[in-house]
Amino acid sequence: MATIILLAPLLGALICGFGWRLIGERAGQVIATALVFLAAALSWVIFLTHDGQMYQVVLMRWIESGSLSTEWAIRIDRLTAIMLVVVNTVSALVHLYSFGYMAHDDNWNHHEHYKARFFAYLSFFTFAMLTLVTSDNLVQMFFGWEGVGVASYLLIGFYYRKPSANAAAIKAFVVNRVGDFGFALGIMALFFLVDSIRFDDVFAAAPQLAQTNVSFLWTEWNAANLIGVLLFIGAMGKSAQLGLHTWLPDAMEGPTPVSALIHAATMVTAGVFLVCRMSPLYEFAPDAQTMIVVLGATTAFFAATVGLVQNDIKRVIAYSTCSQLGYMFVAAGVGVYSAAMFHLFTHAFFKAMLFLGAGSVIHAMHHEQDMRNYGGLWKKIPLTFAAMMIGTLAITGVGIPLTHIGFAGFLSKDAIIESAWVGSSYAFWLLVVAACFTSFYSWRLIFLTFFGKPRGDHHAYDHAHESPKSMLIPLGVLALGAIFSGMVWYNSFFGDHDKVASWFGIPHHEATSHEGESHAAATAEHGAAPQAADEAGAHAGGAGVEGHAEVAALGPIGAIYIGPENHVIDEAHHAPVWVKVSPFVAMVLGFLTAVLFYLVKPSLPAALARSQRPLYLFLLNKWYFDELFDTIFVRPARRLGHFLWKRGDGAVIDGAINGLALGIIPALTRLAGRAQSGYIFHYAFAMFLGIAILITWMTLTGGAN
Amino acid sequence: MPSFPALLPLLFLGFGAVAAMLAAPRLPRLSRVLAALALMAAAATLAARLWAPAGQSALLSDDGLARSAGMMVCLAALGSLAFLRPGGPSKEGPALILLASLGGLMLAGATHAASLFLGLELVTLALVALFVLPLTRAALEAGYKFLILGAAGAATLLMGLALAHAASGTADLQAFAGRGMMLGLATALLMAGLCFKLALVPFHMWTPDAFDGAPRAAAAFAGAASKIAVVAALVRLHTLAPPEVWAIGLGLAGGASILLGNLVALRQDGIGRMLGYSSVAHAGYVASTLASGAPMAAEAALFYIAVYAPALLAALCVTAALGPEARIADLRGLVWRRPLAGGAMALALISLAGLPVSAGFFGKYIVFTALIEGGAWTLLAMAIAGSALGAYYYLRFVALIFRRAPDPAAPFLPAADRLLLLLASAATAVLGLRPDLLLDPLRRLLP
Repeated sequence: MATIILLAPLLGALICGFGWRLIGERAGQVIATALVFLAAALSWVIFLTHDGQMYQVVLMRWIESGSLSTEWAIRIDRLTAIMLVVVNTVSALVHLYSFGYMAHDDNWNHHEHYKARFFAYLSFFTFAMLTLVTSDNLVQMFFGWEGVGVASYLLIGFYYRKPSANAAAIKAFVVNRVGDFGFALGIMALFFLVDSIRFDDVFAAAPQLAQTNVSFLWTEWNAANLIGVLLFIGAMGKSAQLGLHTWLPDAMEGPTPVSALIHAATMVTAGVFLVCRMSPLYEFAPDAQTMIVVLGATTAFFAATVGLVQNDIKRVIAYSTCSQLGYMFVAAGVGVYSAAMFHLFTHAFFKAMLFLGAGSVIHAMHHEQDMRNYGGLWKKIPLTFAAMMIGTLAITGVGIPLTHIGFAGFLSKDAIIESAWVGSSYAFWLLVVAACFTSFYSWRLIFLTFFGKPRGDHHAYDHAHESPKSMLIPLGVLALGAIFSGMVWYNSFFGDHDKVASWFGIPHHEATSHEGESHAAATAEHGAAPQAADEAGAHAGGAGVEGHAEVAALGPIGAIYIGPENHVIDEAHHAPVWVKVSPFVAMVLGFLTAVLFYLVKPSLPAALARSQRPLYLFLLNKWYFDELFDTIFVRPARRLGHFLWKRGDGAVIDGAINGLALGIIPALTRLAGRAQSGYIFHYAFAMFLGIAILITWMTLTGGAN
Repeated sequence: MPSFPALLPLLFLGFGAVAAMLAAPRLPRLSRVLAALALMAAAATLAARLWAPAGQSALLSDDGLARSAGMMVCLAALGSLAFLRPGGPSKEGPALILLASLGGLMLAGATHAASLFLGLELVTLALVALFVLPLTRAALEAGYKFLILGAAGAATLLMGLALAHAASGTADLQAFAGRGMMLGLATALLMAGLCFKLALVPFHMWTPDAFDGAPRAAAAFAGAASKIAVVAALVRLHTLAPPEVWAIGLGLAGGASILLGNLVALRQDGIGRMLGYSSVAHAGYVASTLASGAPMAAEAALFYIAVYAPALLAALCVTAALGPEARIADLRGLVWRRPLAGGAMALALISLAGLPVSAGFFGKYIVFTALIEGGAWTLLAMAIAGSALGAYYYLRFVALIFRRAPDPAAPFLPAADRLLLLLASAATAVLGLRPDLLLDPLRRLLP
């Protein structure tokens, strides 16, 4: 079954990408979408029936080189199951949505076939993402990691006639290279120290790593911390954390379904997934954890502030994504990986919905993206409005305080903030303030778009129309997730200690001796085998050929690992009332401010922007990060490149080669040619000269000792 | 005492030469067939006994090195025989090739000064006769030069052997293992003699004339079969005597050959002369490898010359088909006129340039590896520079092969030529994909 899930999107991508000329563009799209829906349905089966025990499906031996031995295997545990559901559900809905959204596109001429290419890219992305989340070792993960990078590059630059889209695609790719460099170094460091890149071996070696020191960049490092930091740098690039975030807002140049799928729900959460996947390592790397918390909290705050003043509807949501990812990292950093995964899970629903809703608005307004030109749209597109409202209620975290009833974001975000209170007061306060800002910019978006008077082009407003069914159905499905996913799975992810443990397959006595663990592994083996067999039998057709290989886990059992000293989750449950209420208060505060600014007194924002001009510009220009990077990295690099090109390559290398090729070599060959005179006594003379040299040299050097 | 089967290849070649000589005046075709049969029989016997236990006599060694090198000599000789054009006033070609091969086999097994000298002279004298076979002006010039210079080289070698005997009291090649002024002198002279046969600078002067004026088949023998035999002798010396002393001379000559051979080949428009100078350069790579002192030097050198041989044979065979004055322009569009000849020529040149996917690539690769392993950085730099130059002039020829040709005239290719081109190309291509097919046996056969 897992094999089908993994390979169906690949098949779809191949058929749609290469076969559409044979079967027609429409058929290609339908096949690709159907296959992703199949994968999504099977993912839910795995998600709902999974009993928390990890098992592996080995597809093939992949790389054998020296002591590096890599299999292409699917690792199914709770983390994978969650990611499978997230990736495939959102992907399937986005495929469906794209039927409507991409039906007509002004960027292409009528006779051009862009749709099959688009769907093929989407399916390819899905495959790469699935490879990433199902990987059993770091190299396979890296393959998926780069695969999604490529897909992201292709899709951001989908409108390749637009220079801005090309620039954004290149930026995304290059910024991600920086992170990937860290990731690759982390993998190499692990291989260097552990001599294996399989998760099981790495996890088993984590306690030893914590006691190993390595020297890197002229400094002694604790091995676990070093690897943790390096891997986190990779995660920072993919998940757009502060410093490496600059590509994400620009990535909105891609079509909106792409933003929903890649730059909100799935790919950008890969970094969070990586940190949670490597939890057995991070539990032994306190310094790396601190770094994650600080950077995550700062990102959450930073992105929220920038989101306050952006005017492009997609950029607001992009910064909101960036900010929410910061939340997830804080949770992972303080050691409550389950809360991070919880927010990842709920966020995927409501953020994808916000993006798709924004896409629906953009579609209705004929590709106008500036919110200042919207207004009063709720009458025109009521269903989209309803969806966006639900998304906003979810992201701002509306719910009844001190109970577990509320929209998805209420439960997951509060879980993170409570965990942050235990782990780090710095993170806690930043997150609360960010929650207030989140509420403000989300409502600002709603008010500017749907309320008030139409401010933009009247022609566009008059012709605004509700989107087709193919676009509304995905919104409806995601709305369900945005409302209920938090309440249904709260206890499994965060609420109840025992439930969390069994949900993630963590043995009850984590801190027991090693014998206990291997015993648990043995039971896990026995427990998983019949279940796997049942599944294979139940879903015959391909599933029967899966080779289920259970490898006794040597390392920590369970999808995530929580160290014996890690009681953050329990302490978070016993947080004081004011802590638990604080995000709600912040949310209400943000909401009221938004109401005041954009409903009661619409002149206020402009006045405030005027009076606080430096601050406003600072935020509007995103803390000047792009300018800073431009000055520090881009311009010096360009200058260096220019220098090397003109002076280095042009003058020195070309000059030398030309000189060599046009001057020196012909001269030498002419000289050598003249020696070949044809006179035999010349030849003999050369020979005897050679003999003389040989004799002299060899008797002197050889005979000396 | 070597057993009778160990002598069989030598007997095949010797009696084959006599038989071919007897048949030559009346039945030149039969003479060719007899020669080919003798070579095949010798190669087959050697192949059958490839893994037999080693034997040793006073003059000759019968071991993996001698057998594998001898087999390659026979195969290369067979290749040369394939495009040795019959006719003309003299019909002794096949017999001469057999005699030269006999010399090559002796050289490959020589452990004694006498057998070394005998083998070397047999090759040289037979080659002189082969060079002058067409009795044209150019052929006579090439043969004459080779004779005179070869005599000088032989005299030098003989002097070296004599000095070694004087210094150590034995005529065994192990004599060169010692140290001292006299032995240094002896080694220098021996090197000079061997360098002449390998056509290393500055003993290379005969090569371009031979490749240009002599029959292409004779040049092919001088470039492929005879060089394999000399490399085998050098490898033997490498194992008998520590290479420190004679490595210096070999390294000097090798480095100079790489640079000079490639540099001069740059300017050549005649295919024969280009191949001649390039043959100097290729011998330079082999010599540098042996001089590097790396543990893998022996197998690297043998592998390199072994993959060089089919490429050279194919290239010279096509050149022979293009006529006595073949120039670069004659190659234009060859692949469209004669797909087999054009394709084989292109593959051969690519292999000589050392580009993947051809055997030559792995030849270069293993030579560079040996140079790195031996820490011979200067030689490595020279080899890299030489390869860069080589890529330039070989590809100049390759590019022309694929140009559209205005003139559709197709050169004539006899059946034997076609077979040779097919086999040589197959060897080059297969070894370009699976070099271990040759490298592994060599590794295990070498002492």
